[in-house]
Amino acid sequence: MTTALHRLSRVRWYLVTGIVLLVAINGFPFYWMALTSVKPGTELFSYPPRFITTAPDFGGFQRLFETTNFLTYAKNSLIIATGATVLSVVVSALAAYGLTRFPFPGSRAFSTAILYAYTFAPIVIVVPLYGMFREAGLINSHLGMILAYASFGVPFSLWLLQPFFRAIPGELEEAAFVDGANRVKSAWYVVFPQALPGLIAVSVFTFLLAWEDYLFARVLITRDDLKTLPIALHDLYNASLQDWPLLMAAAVLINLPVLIAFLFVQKYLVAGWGAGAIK
Amino acid sequence: MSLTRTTTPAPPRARADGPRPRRRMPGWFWGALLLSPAFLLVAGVIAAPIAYLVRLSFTDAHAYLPKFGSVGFDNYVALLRAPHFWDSVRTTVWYAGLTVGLQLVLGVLIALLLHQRFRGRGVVRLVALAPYMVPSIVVALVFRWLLDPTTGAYSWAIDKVWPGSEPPNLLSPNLIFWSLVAVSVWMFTPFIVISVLARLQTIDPSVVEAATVDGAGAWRRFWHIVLPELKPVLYTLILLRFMFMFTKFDVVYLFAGTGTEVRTLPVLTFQRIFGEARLGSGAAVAMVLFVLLMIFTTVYLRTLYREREETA
Repeated sequence: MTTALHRLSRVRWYLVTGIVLLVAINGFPFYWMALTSVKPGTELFSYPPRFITTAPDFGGFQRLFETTNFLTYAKNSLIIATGATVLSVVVSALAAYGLTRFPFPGSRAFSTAILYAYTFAPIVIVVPLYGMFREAGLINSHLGMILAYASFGVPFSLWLLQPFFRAIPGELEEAAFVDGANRVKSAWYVVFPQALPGLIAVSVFTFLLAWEDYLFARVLITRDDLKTLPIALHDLYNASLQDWPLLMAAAVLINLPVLIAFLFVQKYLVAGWGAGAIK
Repeated sequence: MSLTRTTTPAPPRARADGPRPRRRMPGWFWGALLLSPAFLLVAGVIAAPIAYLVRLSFTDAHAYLPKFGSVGFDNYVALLRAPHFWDSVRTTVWYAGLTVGLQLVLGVLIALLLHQRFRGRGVVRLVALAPYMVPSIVVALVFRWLLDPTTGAYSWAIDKVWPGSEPPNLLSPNLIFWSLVAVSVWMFTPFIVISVLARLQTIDPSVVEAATVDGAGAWRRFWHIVLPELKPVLYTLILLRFMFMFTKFDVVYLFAGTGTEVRTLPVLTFQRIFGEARLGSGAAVAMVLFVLLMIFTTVYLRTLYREREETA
């Protein structure tokens, strides 16, 4: 009895240690980022470093908005990420419905090609895309960026959505037909609501893909007024004088929508990833 | 059936009309129609660029000037002869191998931890998955700030735990590779955690309980019951994640890739094109990555289909 209790408490101790370590290792960089963004200049470079601040100073945020075009960059990021998400989700939902409801010769080959496309690395695509966009005049345009990100979102989204659509029983739609609904109505009222968790997961994924990307934006955008947040932040870092509170203030603001979105949809994301990303 | 009918918000009036005569198009027509936007997008922005990439790799194209002449296999020959290309291959294999290995071990451990029941599990899960959501540029900057040799919090902590004659410089050319590995593991382990956790939740708990009753310890339960169940997922993850890390650009370049110390193949591609303005030569490096990706994907799909057939 005592050994069993002893073992139980040892297991408990492992568990607690593991959780504390995990939270500390994963959480501290977030804390440090937020802390640095409000640290007054006098505490910034103190050694040993200060782990709390008694006099929070929002000068970093103020300088970010006053001396940089942060709002312009945020607007660009928002337009591009939203556009890419809408385009990608609509296109892949249609394709997923088509693939699961109307199989035709070549649809299996298409699925396989999509899987290949999913594994293509951005660095491989960006090289020729740069050449092609240069010739087509799509460098420095929101449309070009939206197309690029959407095309990257589609393979993943399609792959993830297919099991969701396949899991919706055909009888459900047939019941709608009996009730007089046509294809479009049954798809809209019966099929898409059932696939909602998958649709939410791929929307968030595509939005984040575009919101966070560095490479495509770096290569396909050269004008300052069209920069997205990640490249703007990198350029601020590369400026001659590194203003860490300003940089971390920008980092906090870039992260905020991401973490909020994550908080709301994490259930769907975990389900979506579990169902589609990994068989 | 009755349940499905009540959830169908079809207008009741339509029923009274009876089935309307509909012009019937064959199913494949609708399938192809619905697929066409996705097809156009993927063909236009992924397939066409790949074809263009092949062509570029046989030219001396300049990144900014309209110079464009055929050079045959010169780019490839020069690449295979360059010692720094092979250095780059070695760096990439080490980077991908180390990060995937560490991610797998830590990912399984963390997934097992999060699979336990404890108070506040939801919050801990959020914290466990959070690093995956952070943009690469933010990860790179925050860690460069944490590891700053003179003022970084982590540099200070390491110096406290393991005092040396002077504070360690984890961003110096001979240590930055290891820092990059640590940062990458921090950032990408959550993906493994999610995937493994999803699989763990499908294991029948009564089997594990039965083994516990039979006196199997935690280690034996993991080794003989849980691990065999996880094997297919882990195998898939190794392949997928290796591909992913092998071609990773953002965090490698932003955290460590502006010099020659950590020049993985993706970074080499980028430097060739946008640093040296040699578009054709960079395209050849990208082609090497492309061919490797195709091989990996083929292997991956084979195992995926085999698994499907086994479970079907």
